[in-house]
Amino acid sequence: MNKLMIGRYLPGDSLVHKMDPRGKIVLVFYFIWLVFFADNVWSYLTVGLFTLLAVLLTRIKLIYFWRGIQPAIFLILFTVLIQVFFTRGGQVYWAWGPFALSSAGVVNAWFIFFRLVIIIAMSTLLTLTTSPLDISGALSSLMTPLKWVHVPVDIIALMLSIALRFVPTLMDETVRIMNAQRARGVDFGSGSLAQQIKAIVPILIPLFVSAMHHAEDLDDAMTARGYRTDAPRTAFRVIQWHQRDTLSVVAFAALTAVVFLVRMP
Amino acid sequence: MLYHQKEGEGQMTEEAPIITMENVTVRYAEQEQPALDGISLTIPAHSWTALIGHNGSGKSTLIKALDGLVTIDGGTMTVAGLTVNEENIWQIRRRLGVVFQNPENQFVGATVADDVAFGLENAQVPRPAMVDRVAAALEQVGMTAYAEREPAHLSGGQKQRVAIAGILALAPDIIALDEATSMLDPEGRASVLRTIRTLKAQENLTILSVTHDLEEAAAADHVIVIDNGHLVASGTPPEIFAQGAALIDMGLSVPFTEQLKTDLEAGGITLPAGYLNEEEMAAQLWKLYSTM
Repeated sequence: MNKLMIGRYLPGDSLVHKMDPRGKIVLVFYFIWLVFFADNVWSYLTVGLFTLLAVLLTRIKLIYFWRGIQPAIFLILFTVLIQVFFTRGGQVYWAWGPFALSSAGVVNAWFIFFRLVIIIAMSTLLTLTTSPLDISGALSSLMTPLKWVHVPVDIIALMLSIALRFVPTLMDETVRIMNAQRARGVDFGSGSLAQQIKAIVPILIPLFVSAMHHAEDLDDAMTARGYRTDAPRTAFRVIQWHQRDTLSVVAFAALTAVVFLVRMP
Repeated sequence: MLYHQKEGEGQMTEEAPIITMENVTVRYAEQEQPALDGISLTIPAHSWTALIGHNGSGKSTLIKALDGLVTIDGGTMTVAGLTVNEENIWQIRRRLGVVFQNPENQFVGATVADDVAFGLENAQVPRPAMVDRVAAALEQVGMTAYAEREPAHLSGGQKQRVAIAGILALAPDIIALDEATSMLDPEGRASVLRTIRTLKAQENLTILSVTHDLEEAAAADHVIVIDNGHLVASGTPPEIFAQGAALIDMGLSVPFTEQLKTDLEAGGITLPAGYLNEEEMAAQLWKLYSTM
């Protein structure tokens, strides 16, 4: 569990950490879209260098980014191999039935490889440098326009933040229930598939019941502190847009210009 | 300091009542016996009242009824001069802050500061004022250094201090503690109670504490005993604890000094009648020792 880097957050005070989370989310998604426009060595070099620069700016050790890519390594190799053996074009070196090794295939495989690595590195960068709290704040802020179509944005935002806040609580509880059931002789992770699924029930039901208790108590506590779903509220946590965020938008605009300039005509 | 002076003088009953209950009955749908059965009581302003009783005696229900979290089936209640009803309930919730039993389940915010701000957000306090009040409340409970911490990294006692800060920020008149120290270790319990005691004196609060802890009850100005939804006794701690055996019959225990007295008397050593607090007990023991 500790090895998994997906969704992990590493606190820090680098330039990337301090960016407005709304801007960061939008720009990362934009970047992923942009990567698909790269179609030659120069454009890949541009987005690749940009990614490397962004990664270096986080001042997070490269090993963490490597760990982000690790779980996807088989997927990357698989895709690359399919590209290598099934693409025909350019000079064909070797062919056998549907398989072929061609210059176009090799080039395509390299491109796919870089594309996947860059996308994973950039999304790892987003989660490593943005706290879940900031992500939920940013998402609710980005959802604000949906108020016009009567989406209860504030309630969704509160639900999201409560859900995030209870993740560690429920994780602890799961471990406690598992240990309590183990102490009573329940065997997890062995036996046939059907037996293993059955062994989950003594975890799931107590967890479900205790989640209900949490909810009831939290409901009382929130009501006692004056929370009303229909009443307007003020906000304690506000996200601020700084000059560095404007600069990062400018950097992404420049990157876009370069990518489109060096693209094949 | 104020608190200690008042404790000695025992003049609490002269203050105007801040909470009154008259013939209050609460019946839960799934239970045959009512949780509260015709409870009538008054709680004077600026006092510390302890509500004791065994599990299921209706203590928590009483607090929830005052805060409108359970609906009453009969009787009337007033809190801070307002009748408890649909119309007044949100105003009453501003005047009466409740700290619940489980520190984990009442932590709404993602961080300490967010949690303290939750009530203020609901009260639509503008952000600049909110920042000041959150900082001040955290200062009062000694949690300033933890403002940006997440609840998962706090101890039970620290979470309860945050819960208290969240209520203090709203500047209530009354703080009700619904077994707020029952899930804490002795150290956490002592420190939370110390905080409450200091705050009571500083802010001139009224404290209503529901508790199992008799040492906590012994420190109150006034003790109310409820049993099976009925009010069975009410008085100052010495008056209540002098009933020793009757308390044990109700499923409660007696404070340490009372226990010591019973044990000494069983060993043939007689002490003066009535409840003795720790200091008085120590004085009595010195006296005994010098005459032996």
